[in-house]
Amino acid sequence: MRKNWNKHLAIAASGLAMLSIAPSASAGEIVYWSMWNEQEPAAKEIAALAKKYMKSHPDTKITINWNGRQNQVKVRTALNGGTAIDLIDGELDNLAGGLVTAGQAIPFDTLLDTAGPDGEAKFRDLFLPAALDVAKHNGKVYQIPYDYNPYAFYYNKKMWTEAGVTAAPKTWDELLAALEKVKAAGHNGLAVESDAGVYNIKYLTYMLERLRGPDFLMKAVEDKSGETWKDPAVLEAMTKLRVLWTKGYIPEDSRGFQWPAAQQTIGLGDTSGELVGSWLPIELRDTAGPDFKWGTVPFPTVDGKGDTTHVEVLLVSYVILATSKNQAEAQDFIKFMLSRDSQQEYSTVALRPGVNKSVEWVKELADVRTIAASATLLLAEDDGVKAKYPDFVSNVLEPVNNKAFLGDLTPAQFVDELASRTKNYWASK
Amino acid sequence: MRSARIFSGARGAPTRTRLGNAVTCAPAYLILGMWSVFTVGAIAWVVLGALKTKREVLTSGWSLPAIPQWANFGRVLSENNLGLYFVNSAFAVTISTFAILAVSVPAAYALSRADFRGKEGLTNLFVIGIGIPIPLIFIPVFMLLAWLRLTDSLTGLSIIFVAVSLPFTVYLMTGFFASLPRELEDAAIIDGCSGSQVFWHVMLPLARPGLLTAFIINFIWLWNEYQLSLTIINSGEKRTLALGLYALQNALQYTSDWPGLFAGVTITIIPTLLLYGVLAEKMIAGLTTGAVK
Amino acid sequence: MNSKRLIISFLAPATSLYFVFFLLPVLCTLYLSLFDWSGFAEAMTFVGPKNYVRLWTDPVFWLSLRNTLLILAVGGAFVFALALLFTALIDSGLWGKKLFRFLFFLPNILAVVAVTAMWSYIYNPRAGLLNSGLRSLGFDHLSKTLWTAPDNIFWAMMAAIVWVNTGFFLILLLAGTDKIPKEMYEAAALDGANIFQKFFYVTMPMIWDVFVVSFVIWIIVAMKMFEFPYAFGLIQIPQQLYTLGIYLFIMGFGHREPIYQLGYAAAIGVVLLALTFTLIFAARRLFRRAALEF
Repeated sequence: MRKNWNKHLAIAASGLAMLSIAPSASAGEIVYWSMWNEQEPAAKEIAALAKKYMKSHPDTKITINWNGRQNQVKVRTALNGGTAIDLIDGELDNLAGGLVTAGQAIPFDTLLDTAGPDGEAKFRDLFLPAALDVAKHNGKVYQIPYDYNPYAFYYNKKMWTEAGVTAAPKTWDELLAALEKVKAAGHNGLAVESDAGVYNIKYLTYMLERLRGPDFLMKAVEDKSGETWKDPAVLEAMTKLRVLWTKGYIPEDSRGFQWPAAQQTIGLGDTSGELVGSWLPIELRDTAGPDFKWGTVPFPTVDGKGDTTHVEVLLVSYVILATSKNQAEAQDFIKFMLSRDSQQEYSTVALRPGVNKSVEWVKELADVRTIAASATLLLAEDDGVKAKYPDFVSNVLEPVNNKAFLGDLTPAQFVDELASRTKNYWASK
Repeated sequence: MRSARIFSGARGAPTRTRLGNAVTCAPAYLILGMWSVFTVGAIAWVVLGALKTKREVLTSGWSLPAIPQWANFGRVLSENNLGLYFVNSAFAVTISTFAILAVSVPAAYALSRADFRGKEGLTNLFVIGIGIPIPLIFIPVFMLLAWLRLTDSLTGLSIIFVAVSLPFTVYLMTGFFASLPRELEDAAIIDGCSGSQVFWHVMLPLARPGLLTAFIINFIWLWNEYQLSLTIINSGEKRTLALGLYALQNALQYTSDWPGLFAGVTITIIPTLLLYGVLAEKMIAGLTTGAVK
Repeated sequence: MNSKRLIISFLAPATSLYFVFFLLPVLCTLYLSLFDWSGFAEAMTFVGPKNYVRLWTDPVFWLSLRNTLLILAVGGAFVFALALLFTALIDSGLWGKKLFRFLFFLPNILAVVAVTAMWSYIYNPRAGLLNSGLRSLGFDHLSKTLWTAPDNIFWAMMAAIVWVNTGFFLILLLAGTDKIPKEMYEAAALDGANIFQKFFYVTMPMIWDVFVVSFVIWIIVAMKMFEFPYAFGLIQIPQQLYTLGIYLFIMGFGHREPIYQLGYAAAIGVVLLALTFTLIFAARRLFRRAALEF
């Protein structure tokens, strides 16, 4: 409705007033519902960039609703009431399991083959390696990522160096040796929040990915008999992970830490690091102080198996609704947001890791930028299981893993529990 | 008349002499005192936290901040449209609460006094509503409001506020009316009052404590309500204070800005505190003033 | 109150608003529990009672139910024991009744997230108030307790829930004691009653109807318990803290995972509703006594 009105008004005005209105490529309105909260730095920067865009495209009006992380749920409700929404952003796996699976998103393959916003031969060339592959669904790309958060070990570089860790650990045994040195120097090795099942699962998913490859977890979940869990790698994985606790690299009282208590100890100089996403250095900025030096190592190889260029990431991405009447405008806006200048501003001012490969990240994230640039395979959260079987992850995988990781189940019990719960999960479907 | 004497008498147990207080009530004061200290301590922790730095706030407990960070309040107030949200809340919640009473009290009176077929059933129907989990009706409510073109509006929100508060208020007032003696009504009818006059001039004044209780309870729960508001309100400028605070809290969790969060919480306590402080006394005054002779 | 027209005019506004804007949506949801639906504009698939069958074999549902009932029973016992104790103490003629009444209600005014943040600090195993306090008092072994470890976290949350709610129910009970005429206490004092005898023989019988209303309100609060565990969990609610309200929300609206199973959530809601109603009905039956008339 509004789009037609604008068009008619524009024609009438130019006719009557004989003013020369610069011909615009596409006039229209973009209704953009975002998962950021208005006061978050990312939201402020996106709002500023949108303003910039509207200045250079005077016939396009962008209205942004800052809905917070419940964005997709709000969109769902609103769509049922017939609200017009064009552009949405959200965590890639959430969107994959929601709007994309429901067939509400448009594919971007054509757009990605057009020229890039800074003169790249193809739009798809500007993305960090392998970033677009993880945004695929049934072979087509339905999401355009713009924010890139790798899961890795983020640690206090100074603490490790002073403890005598000279080289970044590349294998599991080297990691254990490094943590031993940290412990000997009188510090705690790794921070763990007992109630953050969503962080603690990364230990398992990475360990299994290294030992058995990126498709193993999905296979184990999809095996309706639950028998794939009995693969010796699973037992081995949990046994190895428990060593972190039994050797004291994860202090025993972590069992009682509620988020964000554990990560605070890193900022305060008690603990050296955590297996978490790239937001941690930014979250701890004020607690840790300006002299804190962050280092990042990818999850190591285990017994010679695995590839450290396989990185599990949390991406934030754009989706355009299939019901949108302003798809062309929205696509143009996306291109603008992914351009070098926009992304650089986003990375520097909002302290977010941009996905454009010609963009620098802030100094706290320098190490992990190198990891991102050399990644060969990006893993969706929980190797894709989260998007496909979210209730399995929420009801079975994360809680059972948390129990075993925290020591309430032995590794053998862990395997049995997973096997029987998987069987029950499929039986009740 | 017996009723008049009872209604005009003093309420509650008599206050004893000061000496008697000190000696025999010491353990009582101790227990009550400890609980009070803990309660006040909670508020103190939050307000103190609002004045600390991010590094201090979650680790320094009840110690005073090294340097009071008044800027936290300034930042929260300026970065958020709290003034606008306050006006929105004041508007929607006040109107809704009055509307709830206007609609529920006559209904409760009818359900407690009148005799008609289906009375029990209707009462039970209202009571069931109390147990219904609100998230379940998000989508149908939104679709209903969308059909009425009332989505993203404080009017639509107010209507839903009234509808979901009805069950509890009707239940409360029905129970309250049931506990009032019938003699006064009978006397009034004998004196020649019509049904509605009995309601307006006899029962309503008597029901004042119940009305105030219902007002306070509904006002406080609607003032803090954010789930329905989250579903129905989309535009930033129509947000209620509770919704604004919810968004603020979420943002601050992601930026680890706990001091800011506590500053926001402190700001929103103030109206509820004032309301309770003022109205609670009125409620008690209403009880002790007594009714007709 | 016999004129039909009067009755209808008194009942009509409430009933029509209630039916259209509340009951109608609820009926939609009941209907929804017989389907599989993500809420996005895909078709709704009819599955009949399958959602309910699935609930029966769902261990997480039973865990949520157990937690909810524990909060109701154990939490309720503590809340009312404390509220009644405080009522007895405050109403015994102490000075400062108004002050105590005001102070005890304060936790209810604080935003839930602030309350849970404070309790999180209290329970912190290293630097938290509880453990530091115990350490300084010399209870070294006790000060090492991990209050929010997986085996304890539910009870830790329960303690916080009791603390928050006691004040509210105390206010309700005190509103009831205000109706009691002074003469009754004076008569009891003349007969030589002490604080507790006065409480049991004068106060309790007189506030019985208020007590029953309060208990019904507690049943509703406990059964619907959602906001507190949600805030206590913050980044993610650990399964040990699941209540029926939380599980419903997670299955229908997702929290950290994109779980959009509205049909299943609706089924949980229906069970929750049926259970609440049964409990309220049972409570009212159990506690029924002739209302005391003057």
